Amino acid sequence: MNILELNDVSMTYGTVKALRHIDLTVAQGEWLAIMGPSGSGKTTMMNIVGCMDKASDGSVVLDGEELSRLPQKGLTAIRRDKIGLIFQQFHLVPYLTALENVIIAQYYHSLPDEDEAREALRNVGLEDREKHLPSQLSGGEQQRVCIARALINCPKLILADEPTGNLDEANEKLVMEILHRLHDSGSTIIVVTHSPEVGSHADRVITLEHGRIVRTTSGSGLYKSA
Amino acid sequence: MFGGALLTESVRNGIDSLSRRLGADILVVPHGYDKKLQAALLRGEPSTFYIKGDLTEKIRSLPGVQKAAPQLYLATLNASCCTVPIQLIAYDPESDFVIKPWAASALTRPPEDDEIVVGSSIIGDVGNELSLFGQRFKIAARLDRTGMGFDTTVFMTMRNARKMLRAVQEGAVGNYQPGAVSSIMLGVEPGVDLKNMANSILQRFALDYNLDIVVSKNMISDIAKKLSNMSYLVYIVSGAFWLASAGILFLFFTLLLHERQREFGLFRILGATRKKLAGIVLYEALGVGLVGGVAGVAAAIGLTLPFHKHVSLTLGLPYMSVSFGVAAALGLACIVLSIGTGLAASLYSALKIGAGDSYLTLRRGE
Amino acid sequence: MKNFLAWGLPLMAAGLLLAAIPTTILPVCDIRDGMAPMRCHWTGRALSGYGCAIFVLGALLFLGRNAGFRLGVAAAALVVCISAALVPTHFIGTCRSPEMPCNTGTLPGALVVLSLAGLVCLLSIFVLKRRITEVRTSQ
Repeated sequence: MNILELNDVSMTYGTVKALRHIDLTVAQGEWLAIMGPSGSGKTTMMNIVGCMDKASDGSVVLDGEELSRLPQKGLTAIRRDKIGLIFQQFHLVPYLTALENVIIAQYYHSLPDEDEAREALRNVGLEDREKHLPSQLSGGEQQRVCIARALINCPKLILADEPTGNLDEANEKLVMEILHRLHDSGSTIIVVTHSPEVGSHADRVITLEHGRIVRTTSGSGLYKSA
Repeated sequence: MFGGALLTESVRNGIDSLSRRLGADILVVPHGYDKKLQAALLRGEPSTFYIKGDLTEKIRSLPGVQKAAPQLYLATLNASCCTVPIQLIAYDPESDFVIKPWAASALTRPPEDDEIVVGSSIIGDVGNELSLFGQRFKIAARLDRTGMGFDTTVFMTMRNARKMLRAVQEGAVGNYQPGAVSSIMLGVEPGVDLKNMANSILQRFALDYNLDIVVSKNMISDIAKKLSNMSYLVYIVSGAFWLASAGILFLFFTLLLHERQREFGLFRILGATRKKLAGIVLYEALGVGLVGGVAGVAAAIGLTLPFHKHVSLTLGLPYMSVSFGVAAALGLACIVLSIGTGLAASLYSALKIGAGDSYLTLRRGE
Repeated sequence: MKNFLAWGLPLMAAGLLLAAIPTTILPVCDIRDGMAPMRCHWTGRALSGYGCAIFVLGALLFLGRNAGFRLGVAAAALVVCISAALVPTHFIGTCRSPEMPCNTGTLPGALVVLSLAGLVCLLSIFVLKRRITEVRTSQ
């Protein structure tokens, strides 16, 4: 079953065509990597898939919902309920603890549940850092908090924008292991990345150039979690 | 704003107290002493002045005069309670209608020969003795606070005063002649024109007795006008401060929105609706307004309460602190206004929040 | 909060104010010819002296670099403020009559300034203590 379908999707900003006639399907449980140089349309595609923007043309269906017909409020609801977002810069709230940063995603979704948030932190190996502020956490730890936050509402789709872009090798390995664990448990993951190495973890890699998909390759899928 | 409101209401209280206490319609005083009388009544600035005592009966017999009561004003430095001059006012218990009704609230019987009644700020407990002009008098009662010069005045009967003055060295109390009075308080019959009555008295007696007339209604309205001017000034200054704070708050929230764009962008991405974000801003504005209002009221209390006496003496206006209830109501009104101002100043920011591309906002500067 | 230079300045200002209040801003009662100076005269002198002391302590807080030294100065300044407040209220006192200038102006003025100075001292102590504890923990 396909979790995501893009049919002839284009995106125009003024006179600039950021995406041109994109056709893409993502199956449930698949790990897709989107690669390409700067300005290729990766962020635009992420915005559309992540319900942060609406395509100018074409249709986008996420988990059976046609996104192009939804108003802004509807897109917000879909993003909140079905998508977990992981960012390159982590984007944690600086004055909230690790636990509170996870809870805040719950707060806008349903009811805050501290135990659930704690469990999410435990799953990423940060149960003893829950009271720490982001400034007291390393880059890798902050990204793991970001992952815990992305997963707290059991999303249908995990969308990661350069999840290891700001991490050193060791932390990159840690984060990729978590993503593999999620993939193995059946989660659908889309990763936007510059890094061929990160891309190679995926089941499938698509490459964008000037707003079009120019290449589709299989990822090695060789890097299994330990 | 709270400080200004407290000040104007306290002066208004003082003026109300003055008009309640000042039962007389017309006050007859020696020429040139009208200001001194006002100073004695309003600020307790002691004075000594005389007019011939036989004038009382002559005025009492005038058509239109309902009642006439003499009073004797003496300033004494020679008082055991104090090292500054205090005002003595002697009144005739038979005819007086200004001091007697009010003194009766503290002392239900007429004072005896060696007794005095003191204003609220005179040092000494009831039952203690006070020495005036070298003679000892017992404090029979203490009057309630009036916010006027009466608070620093000692009251005695005319009989006592005259007895005291007989024993005093000549010249020690100015040019006192036995039987002299300082002023005559008049109550006129209903419907009598006060201006005409005042003119009539002046025409008949000014030359022989060298008089001035004070119409108490005019005195009070002059004071009320001063209060009015002071109120305008207070309100204008308060208004200017309020406008300035509203402007600063508006700027503050606009800058805040700018500074926290990423944070709000993140909340938007995590699923917050624009309404919810607006709610966050308004809630914070409510907090700022509340804390600011409470801090402002506390600061105003901290400054006006310790200095209220100094302010009243400097203003030269009657001053009587408002009750706790009135002060609390004023304080609450100021806090509510502060909250309202904060909310209004943040409205623009609250409405603009969450507009635009959230993800781009989040990634700005990357 | 990080820059503690600022904290010494309000204390110096308070010291100057306190020194000036009894003599210039809200002076005590005049000495009358032929009469001995009243209590408030001596209270005024004492307050002026305390004001100078608070000014000096404020300067030390401003100029000091070591957190422990500054903490000691702030604590000393607090004790001086409390002691100064006791002068017009207990140690020496003011005139009996509540209408006298020393009671209507000097006393409330001094107490307001000393309260604010005391608050600055308390805040300084609190923040400095926390800073010292943080430094110790990080070592």
